[in-house]
Amino acid sequence: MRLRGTTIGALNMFRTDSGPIGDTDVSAAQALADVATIAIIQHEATLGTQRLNEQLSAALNSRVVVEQAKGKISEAADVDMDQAFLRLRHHARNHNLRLGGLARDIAEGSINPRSFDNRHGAVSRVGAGHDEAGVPAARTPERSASLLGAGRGGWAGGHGALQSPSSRAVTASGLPPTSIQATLGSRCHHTRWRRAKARVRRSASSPASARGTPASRWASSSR
Amino acid sequence: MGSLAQRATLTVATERLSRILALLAVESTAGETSRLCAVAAEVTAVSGAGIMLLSGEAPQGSLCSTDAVSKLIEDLQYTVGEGPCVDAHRDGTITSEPDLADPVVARWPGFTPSALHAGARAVFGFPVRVGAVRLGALNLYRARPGPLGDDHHAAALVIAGVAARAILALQADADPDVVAAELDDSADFHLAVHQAAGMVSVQLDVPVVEALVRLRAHACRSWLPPATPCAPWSCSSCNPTRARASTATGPAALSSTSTWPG
Repeated sequence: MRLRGTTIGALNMFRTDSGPIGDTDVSAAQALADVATIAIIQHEATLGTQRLNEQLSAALNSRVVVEQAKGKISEAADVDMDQAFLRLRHHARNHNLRLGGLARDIAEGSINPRSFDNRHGAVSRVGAGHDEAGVPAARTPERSASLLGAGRGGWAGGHGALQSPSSRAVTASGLPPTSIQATLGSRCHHTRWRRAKARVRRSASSPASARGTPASRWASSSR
Repeated sequence: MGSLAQRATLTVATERLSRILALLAVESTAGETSRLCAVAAEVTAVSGAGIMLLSGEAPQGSLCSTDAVSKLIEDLQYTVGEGPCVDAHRDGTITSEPDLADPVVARWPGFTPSALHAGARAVFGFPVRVGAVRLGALNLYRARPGPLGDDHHAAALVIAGVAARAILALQADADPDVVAAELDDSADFHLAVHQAAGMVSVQLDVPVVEALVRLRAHACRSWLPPATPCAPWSCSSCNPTRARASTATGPAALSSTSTWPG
């Protein structure tokens, strides 16, 4: 089964009697093989176009899902988008998960970005400091916040309190007709500032924060 | 006679395709995909052109656009979910609006006022597809009203077909799970919008789909002229009714009940 020098397969024929095959039968068999070749190649070409479009669509979609997961982690952990991506990738590697699958679970909400480490019950390298302290269960509040940068386990609760007034501020302030990104950017800046203040207060009393800032924790655990 | 007419038609079509391929082959610093839009605008003699990628009814992003107005035309369609590209892709037919300022009934109430304000008077959408495989739409705009001439119309069909094959050819060289680098570099897939949707989803404790609807509503309200009706979107996965219902019961929202359009 050949088309322009490319062989894609062979047509096998069998007979119960012995003896050679006649010339007429040879040309008939070759004609049938040619028809089959053309049919298969045509079908492949159609499938190829369809498949490529599906691949493009799926690739674009997984790209979008990763960005949504980054946004969720960024907001939950109060880190920038690059940091959020590093955490996502780190978690996927540590738990032997596909990045796309993990991102989808976070974006769809089946893994909470505030607690997605302990859902897998696995030891997290991000929160490695707790292993030394001999905390066995992966379900302590600190562990659940390990993706957010453990040691700040307290602020997950505080976040809810910050949320309402600041989002009211967005709607009540009569925003100028600028882009969404600008709106969110200023809002993020606002909450980050308040959180930063809360962290400074906590650091005075809590030994947890003495273990380091989230950034340095990340750097030390990513080796 | 019949065969002579057919041969003549074929010659014209071949010449048109050759001319477009020759224009595309011209070396350009702007990259292959933006060359597609530039050539589209040139061979159809319009003010500007853009190519939009769509999936289902949802706009996914802009592959290229020749100027600020065609960029805005694509952004508008991304925001309000209606317009020439969305229609051309959804119906698989050519969408033609020779005078946006003079329709008996406004075809796209969310899209038209802002497009007119930006300087587009006539808009046309051509499906970008290979057979039944639909990838998106080519949009053309002109600053003055009037239909596309036959020759320009035919040229637009050819360039739309070439664009579809070019996009698939680019993707064919990439890994199955990854968007081809050439597409990724030149196209605008509005990734920041999806990051923002993720953030809003955590802030308000709502699904990402709903966060996207709220972002759209907010953008619609603050970015477009006040009289623009912002809902319903033609995007079937974004149901504003659901968002409104939960706004009434949920926490203070990005877009509160009292300010929700309609």
